[in-house]
Amino acid sequence: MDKLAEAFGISLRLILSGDPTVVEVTLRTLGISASATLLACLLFIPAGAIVHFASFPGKKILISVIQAFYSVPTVFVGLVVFLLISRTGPLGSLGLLFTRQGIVLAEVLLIAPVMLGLVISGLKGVSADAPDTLRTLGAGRIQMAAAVLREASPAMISAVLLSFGRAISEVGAAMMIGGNIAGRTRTLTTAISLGVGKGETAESIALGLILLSIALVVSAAVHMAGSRSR
Amino acid sequence: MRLGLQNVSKSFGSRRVLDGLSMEVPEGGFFVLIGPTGCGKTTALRMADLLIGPDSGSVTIDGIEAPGSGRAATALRRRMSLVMQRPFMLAGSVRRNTEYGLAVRGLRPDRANTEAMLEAVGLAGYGDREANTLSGGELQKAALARSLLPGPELLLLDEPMSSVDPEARPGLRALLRRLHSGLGITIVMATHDFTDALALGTCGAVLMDGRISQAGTLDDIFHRPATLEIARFVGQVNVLSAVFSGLDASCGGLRIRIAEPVPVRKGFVAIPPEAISISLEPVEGSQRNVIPAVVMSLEDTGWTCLVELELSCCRLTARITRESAADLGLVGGKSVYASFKATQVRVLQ
Repeated sequence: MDKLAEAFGISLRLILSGDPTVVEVTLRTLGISASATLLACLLFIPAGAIVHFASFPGKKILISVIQAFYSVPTVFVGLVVFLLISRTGPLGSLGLLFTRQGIVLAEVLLIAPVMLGLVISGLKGVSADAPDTLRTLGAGRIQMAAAVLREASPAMISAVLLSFGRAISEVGAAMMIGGNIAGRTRTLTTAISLGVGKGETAESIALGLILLSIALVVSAAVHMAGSRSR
Repeated sequence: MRLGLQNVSKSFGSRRVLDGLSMEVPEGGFFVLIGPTGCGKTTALRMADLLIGPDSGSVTIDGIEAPGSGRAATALRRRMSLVMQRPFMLAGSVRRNTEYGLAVRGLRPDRANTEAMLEAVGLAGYGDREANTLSGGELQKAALARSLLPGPELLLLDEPMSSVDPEARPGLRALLRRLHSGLGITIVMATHDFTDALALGTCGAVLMDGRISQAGTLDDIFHRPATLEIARFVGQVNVLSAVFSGLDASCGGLRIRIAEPVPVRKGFVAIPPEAISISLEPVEGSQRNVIPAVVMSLEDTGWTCLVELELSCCRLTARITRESAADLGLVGGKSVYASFKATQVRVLQ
């Protein structure tokens, strides 16, 4: 117990003193997760809108499949991306293995179902009369979709924040794709995992506290966005 | 703008909502599409606004077939406006909602114009109000202002009075009349309420089971309904099929005296409930129809009573004062005489 308290004390000192390693890993993690979330927003908010507004056979099945992938194991996503970008994989020539870009790709795929599903359900929460009302006021399809997305903005913010939360807390794919290389691909989660393995409890606790703080901030933001939508 | 629907049909799943509907709305007219709930009025309006396409048939604007979708349809839709039965309001102020139509057309809203439009619909000073806090009647007015601000040539109204309080309806009717005569735009209004139709329309059509049962002037529809269903739908009570011969109308086994001979052999007669008197003894009078009847039921409606009477071959409803009902001691099963003047019998040809 004393050892744990001592480690906790050291970890606080590491955070408060702005330890370069801790800061570097934190910033890299935020950068990777933010990039993945931004990329996912650019891809999956429009994709979710298309699924929501378009009528096509099998739409309900597609939405069920998307929702079923909410809880896809991160290690499985890591494995799929690894097979895709490994030297012998179809995207091997891009040289993404053991790079931050590779981790971003894995995280984009990981958060895709969550973001798509939440965007679709967020749009579903907007009045069913909205699209036709907007079109009858002269809106084109894209203007109409933009206005409906704006109506669902609290739900969209929740989708983005939850996706960011899933990306930043991910460990399996980051480890598999990034390789946990110091100074290049090490993230908060992989660093914690490594630190625990090496017995560097204080540094792991420091990184864990930072990760927890980020998770709490994201959670509070999601809650606030949800309150606004009600 | 002239609107035409030519022989349009539309099904949703196995349900056929429009079945060969055809109608022509003249430029500058106030056309009323009348029909019971679920007869296809909303679908017809949505089709006219090019929100949905027909399975067969065509929609024409100014005599030219309208495109079903795409930019050309959007461009055409921007020349008209549809006010939905349950208006959807965007989050934000009434002003933001009112100016939305201008924004999507890439036009810069003029605050003074917006305020003037809100004032015209009776919402002066409502610009900064949160749109989703408006009452039903206010919502309808806000939706109307929003639709009118871009200056549509054709205004489509889907049951605009449906969520308006009865006391506020005359005001909204007056507003629609003013807008129609003042702006000169073509208006198509769907309603199931014949009072609104008569008060506002210059012409119209009765939509039943997805097709037009009768079209023409509202006076024609009301006074010369094509079928018994239409006569009943437009609010005629005590409507009976009749075969005319001179001053007699033979309604099944009942002979009813009418005031003037009619030029047709078959038609309908309608007897307003207020025209029927009830007495315990036969009432004398050469121009009066006096028919023995049995009281079936009484319904207290406040100042008056609706009395359902069974005659030899049909039933009639009479409206009398509560005092009269009490004086006569009317109860179910009581034998009475129903009488009404020949001049009060409406002939529907």
